[in-house]
Amino acid sequence: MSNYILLDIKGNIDTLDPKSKVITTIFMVLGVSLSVEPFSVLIFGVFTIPLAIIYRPRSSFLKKAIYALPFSILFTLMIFFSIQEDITVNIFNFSRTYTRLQFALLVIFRFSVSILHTTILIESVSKSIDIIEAIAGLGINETIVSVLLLIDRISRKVQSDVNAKLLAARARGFTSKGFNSIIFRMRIYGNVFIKLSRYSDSLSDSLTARGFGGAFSHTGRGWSSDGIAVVLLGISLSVFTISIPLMR
Amino acid sequence: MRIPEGIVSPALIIIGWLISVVMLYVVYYKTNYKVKDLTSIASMGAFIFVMQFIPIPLQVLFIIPFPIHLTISGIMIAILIIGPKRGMIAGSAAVILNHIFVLPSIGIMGVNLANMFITSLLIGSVFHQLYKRVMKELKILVALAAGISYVLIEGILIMLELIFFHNTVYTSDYIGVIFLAYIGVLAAIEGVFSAVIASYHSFSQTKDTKNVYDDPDELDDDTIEMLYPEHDDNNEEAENKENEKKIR
Repeated sequence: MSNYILLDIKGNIDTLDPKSKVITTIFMVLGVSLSVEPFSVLIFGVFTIPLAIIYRPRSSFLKKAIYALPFSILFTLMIFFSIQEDITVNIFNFSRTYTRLQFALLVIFRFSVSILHTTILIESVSKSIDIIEAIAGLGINETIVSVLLLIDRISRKVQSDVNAKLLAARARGFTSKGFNSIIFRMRIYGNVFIKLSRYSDSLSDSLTARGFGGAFSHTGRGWSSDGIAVVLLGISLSVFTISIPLMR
Repeated sequence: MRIPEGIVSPALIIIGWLISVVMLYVVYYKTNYKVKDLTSIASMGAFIFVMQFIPIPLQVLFIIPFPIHLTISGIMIAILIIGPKRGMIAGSAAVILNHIFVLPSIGIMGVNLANMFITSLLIGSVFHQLYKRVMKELKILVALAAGISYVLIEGILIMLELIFFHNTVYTSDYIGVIFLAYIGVLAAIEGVFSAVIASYHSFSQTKDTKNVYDDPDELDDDTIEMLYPEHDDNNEEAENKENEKKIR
């Protein structure tokens, strides 16, 4: 018999609401996108550490960010070979000139920091629906939220349909190679599309039967003092970092 | 087809976000949608969203060196079947979810959304009307033309954005030629895929399988009679009388 007590003490900061996380991340990522100096991007990059501590993401966030790296390298190479001379990047009245290598490195750095910020957000919520509810909590139109929630629900059904078809094909010894694999996928898409139309009909009927009036109710939490503090910190850092080159 | 994070100038990001916010306001706020509309929009959005996870392995045909994800044809099919406005809603929801969950890039989301809205506005209504009016066999050709046109217009839009907003010197002619060739090949592929899905949609529309994506308000009497022969008013009255007799 175990005679220990498991204390699961959570501070306020640990229960930061998804709404605050979403706003802070949007400002941070927009800040990264609007940065034209490497040190500005570096500031946002360094700030991922305190954000990771505050958001408490799953450890898989690093793995996900690394998965996106080949994609960023591919585009950086495309940029590198598409530029022959120096490049001037402008923001309002500030401009900075880079060689093509410097610009390619800046792009990959900016891309990586941006992806890191978003991955921390995604991996810090338990379900994708939390982020959609957080968007609803920001006072955004109910139709957007309803459509996003329905897509979240239906896309799971579609995924299971596609997976079932792939497994069934594999169980019957079907191996698709070359051009056949493309035809096979097209057939799957077509079948899923038709099935989806029927599912949409039954979903609509069942929602109407339950008295659904066009807007889902959501359990969005109110603002917490910690949440407001993190949002203000994110906005201040973002605005300050973007305006550093403009103040010169 | 999307612009990756980090390569465009801050000015384009700000303009893209402004256009997207205005367009989102217009398409979401200015209309009251019924439950059936919401489910059909969401099922289209889910279809586009899930398609982004399943790559079409075109590298096996040595056309394009990496697998492609048929997002554009999904958006075009949604526009053709449920109309430009609802199609734009389905497309925008799928694009938002894609930029948050699939390849995190919130910064550039505004620009990619704006591109989708502009292209859909330019050609959506024309092709939707054509698709509605032509006979069943010709719907496939309309979908083919719509898919090709969508990719070409969005590709040229992206190219113009990169030329005007990327930097002051965007040279290298051969990269431009490669990009145009890529757009051409992609347009053909997306067009063929749109036609395949359209064939599934149009030929599944028999009296046994009514298609819920179509707006029932837009159906004429002949079509309703063909789709729902058992719901003919006279038949319904006769059935009611028979039922009453049975009950007695």
